[in-house]
Amino acid sequence: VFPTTHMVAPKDQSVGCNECHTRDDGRMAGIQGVYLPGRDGNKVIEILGWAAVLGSFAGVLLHALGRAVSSRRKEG
Amino acid sequence: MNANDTCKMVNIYLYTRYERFWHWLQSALIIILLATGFETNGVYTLFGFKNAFDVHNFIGITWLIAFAFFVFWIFTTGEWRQYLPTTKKMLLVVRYYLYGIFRGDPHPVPKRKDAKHNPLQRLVYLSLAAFLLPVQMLSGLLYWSYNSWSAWGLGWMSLNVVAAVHLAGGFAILSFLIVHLYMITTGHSLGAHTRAMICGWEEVEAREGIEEWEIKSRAKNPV
Repeated sequence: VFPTTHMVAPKDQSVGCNECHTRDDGRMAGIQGVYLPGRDGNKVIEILGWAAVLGSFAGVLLHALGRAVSSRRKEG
Repeated sequence: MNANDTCKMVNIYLYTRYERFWHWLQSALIIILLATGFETNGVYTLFGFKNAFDVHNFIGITWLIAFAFFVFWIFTTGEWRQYLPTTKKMLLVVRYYLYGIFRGDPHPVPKRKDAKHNPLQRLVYLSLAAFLLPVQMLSGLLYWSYNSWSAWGLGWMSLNVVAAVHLAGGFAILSFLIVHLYMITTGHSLGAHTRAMICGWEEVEAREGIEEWEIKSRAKNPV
């Protein structure tokens, strides 16, 4: 119903998605002015996003460590 | 130890069958969406772009349909009341997770059938179910229907922005998942919360019934 294809014909001569949808120098690497999923990201959101993910991970790791230490102290 | 040992424990039925089914279905869908979504964005190559893209779209639409059932369930059962935000005892709960938990203090707001979320959970799950997940579904749906934007009169929108919102939502959900996976180990025993989400029953401290503020909406709106 909602084609997310590029109407490429004939089908057997179409190239793989990742020939363009890639960060590693794809066929459309030099073409600007269009957002190409898989090639273009969002640097700011990526940095903030990974910071949040790593921050969450570090947070729960510290908390778990605190629980392990405090429960051992109580047993000992 | 301390108060914990003298406290009587009771087994209560917290999560109904549909609720548990929905929880695990949605967790599977979300984990698949995260794994394929970050690949589609170009963060890594795992399944290949085409596979990741196809699976992501299919699972995304599946999620939308399944979520509609959840919305129906939460309103017809009145369970939405469990998500009403409150600031009562919020600080006590925050203090517990920052401090009391290390001393083995009892949880300030133990789970009850009629109040299975503490104030912090209410806030987190309300933000999740009423804001973050819908934003993710809507931005995903828009992203998916990009080719129809001009036909729908949405030609003014920027794919750049929609993709950015969708990516930010993905990171937020991943962060939630990490904290969530850890928090489920903080029950009466390491596996108590997980067990409850599998079989429905959880062992909690026996204490007086739920408090007034936890059911205030019920008095006004009887089921």
